[in-house]
Formats: sequence, structure tokens, C-alpha cells
Amino acid sequence: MAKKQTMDHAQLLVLSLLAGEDMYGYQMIVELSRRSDHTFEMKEGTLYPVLHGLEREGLVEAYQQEAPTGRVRKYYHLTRRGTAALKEEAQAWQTYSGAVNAVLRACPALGLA
Amino acid sequence: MDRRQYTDRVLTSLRRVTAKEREAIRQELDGHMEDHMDALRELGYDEALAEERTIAAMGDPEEVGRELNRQYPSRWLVVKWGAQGAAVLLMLFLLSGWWDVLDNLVCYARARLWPGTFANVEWLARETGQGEVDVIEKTEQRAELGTMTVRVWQVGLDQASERGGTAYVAFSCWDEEPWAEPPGYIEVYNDADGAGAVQSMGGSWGRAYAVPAAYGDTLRVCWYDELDHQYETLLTVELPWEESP
Repeated sequence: MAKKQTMDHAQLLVLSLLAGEDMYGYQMIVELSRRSDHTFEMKEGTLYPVLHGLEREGLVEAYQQEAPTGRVRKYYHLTRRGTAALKEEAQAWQTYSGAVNAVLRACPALGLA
Repeated sequence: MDRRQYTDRVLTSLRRVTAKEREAIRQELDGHMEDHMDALRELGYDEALAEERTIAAMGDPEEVGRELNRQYPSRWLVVKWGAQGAAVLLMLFLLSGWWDVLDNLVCYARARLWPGTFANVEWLARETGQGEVDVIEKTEQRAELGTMTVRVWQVGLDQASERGGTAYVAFSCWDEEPWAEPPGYIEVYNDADGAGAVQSMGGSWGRAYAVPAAYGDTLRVCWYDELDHQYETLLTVELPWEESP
């Protein structure tokens, strides 16, 4: 039986964003909106509880970096543990969404088959 | 509501963060809003509208605060405060001279309950190369010296015959006053010929002595009174001689 999901969707999305590069908060919001074609437009303040929770669990780590404008930003970096968690959760999510899609396709009223 | 008021309202909900964490969260939220406002300014928004739209995009500050608060378990703060409190108490303790009192209390307990931890006949014989001692016995002989009690708790004899051998004695002492100083000089002599100890070991609160002795001799435990410059006999110690040598 496939492993159950233990993360909520926001955590999974944040980890997937950080898999490509280190990012700061506003950058993640913009990138998430772009990659999801504006489907995921979360309330921006709620990103930080997610990030701080992931940091406490050791899945991401933060560091300060100065931008060319002189503004110091807090960047988040995916740890090795975070990468492993992302792989596991992404697999679980694909299994779950595949199962939901299979059920929906079998529904005659939806005409998806 | 402006940016400052927004972060203030978020921070109001945070009850489990340190001052440093609180400031870091303020900077991070404020930086985020500044980034968002920059993007809107580039699109031609004026300052007031950019701030208004940014704050609206951030969401309910109380909800953000509550969610953030959940990410900071109280136990870490309690542990931190506990450690800081313990460090301060320890500093005060050391600075106030209570360390000496604690040291004396530990010595008091050792002297009463585990006198052998200061010194004992077996250790002394081993240290001086005597090896096994022929006879070692527990004893209970006490003398009062002001508020102090001196107790001889162990005696021993080795190669004891009429031609003489070595007598051993171990004592410990304690004071009813927890801040009292150790008793100073305590010496052991052979009662018959006044010979002093040839070896000793231990500390002020407990020592062991080796004294030359002949059959039937007893030992004297004396305290040297530094004010009057004279010895005061505290105890005459009976040794475990057999009935006939």
C-alpha cells in the first residue's frame, strides 16, 4: 500500500518551489502564482507559518542575503532531509491524485472517460 | 492600517517567541510587504494604493499570528527561561559565598555517612607500601570540640608484637554550623612514648594516620589550638590488641 500523505498542500508546494533554487518569501508567492497559472494565490502572510514550521522540522534552512538594492532578505534553502521528504510526499500525492482521477473518470455523469 | 500596524497585529498573537525571534519575524514580514509594494510601484501604483493592496494580499493579521504562534512550541521558551534562570541563580550562588556553605554541607554528609571517602586505613597502607594490614576494625569513639564532633571510626594494627608494629587510625569530623571552617590541625600520637604519625593522608574533614606502636599501646588524638599554642587531647583510642600477643 502506498505511503499516506503527512504534509498539507502548502508545505508540499513550498518544498517543490525550493527544489530548484533558494528563494525569499515574496519570490515564492510570485513563482507559485506563475507556475500554477494563478490557481494558487494564497494569502501571502500565511506563507510564513508554513516556512517557519518547515524550518523547525529541519526540512528547510534560512540565511540572510543582501540584494543589489541593499535590502537584506531571508532566503530559504531545501535541506537534504527536505529533499527526501519532498520526494516521498510527491509520490504519495501522485498516487492519491491518480486514484481520485480514476474514480472521477469512471463516473458516467461527468463524461470524462 | 499601514504596514507597521499590520506587523504589530501579527506580533500581538505571538506568545511563545523570544524578543530576537519577534524582531526577525517583524523584519521578514515588513521586507515581504516592501517587495510587494515595489512590484506594484513598478506597475504604476501610487504609494498609498500600493500599501493598501499589499496589506490586503497579506491576509488577516490575527490568523497569520495564530498560525505563526503554533510553529513555536512553548517548551523551548520554557527550557530557555529555565536555563537562563538557573545560570543567574548559579552566579548569585557562587558570588554570595554560598559555594563554601554547600562545600561544607557536602563534607558534613561525607564525614557522617561516608567517612571512608576522605581517607581510610586500607588506602593509607596501600599508599605507604604496607599492603595488607593484619587487623582492621570499625570503631565508634567521639569527642566534642565546640560545635564540632570528631569521630574515630576505624582502627588497624599491622605486624603488632611486643617489638612493635604500626597502629592505624582514621577519623572524620563535622560541624553543626554549615559555614564553619575545618578544625585545623588534628594529630595522632602514641600515648606510651609520644611518637607521632609516620604517615597520614586525607583532608581537613577526615584523615588516616599510621603511628609506630607496641603491644598494648593506645593512641591519642589531639587538636592543636592555634590561639593558645598547645595541644588538647580529644580522645584516647583503644586499639584492637588481642588478649595475649
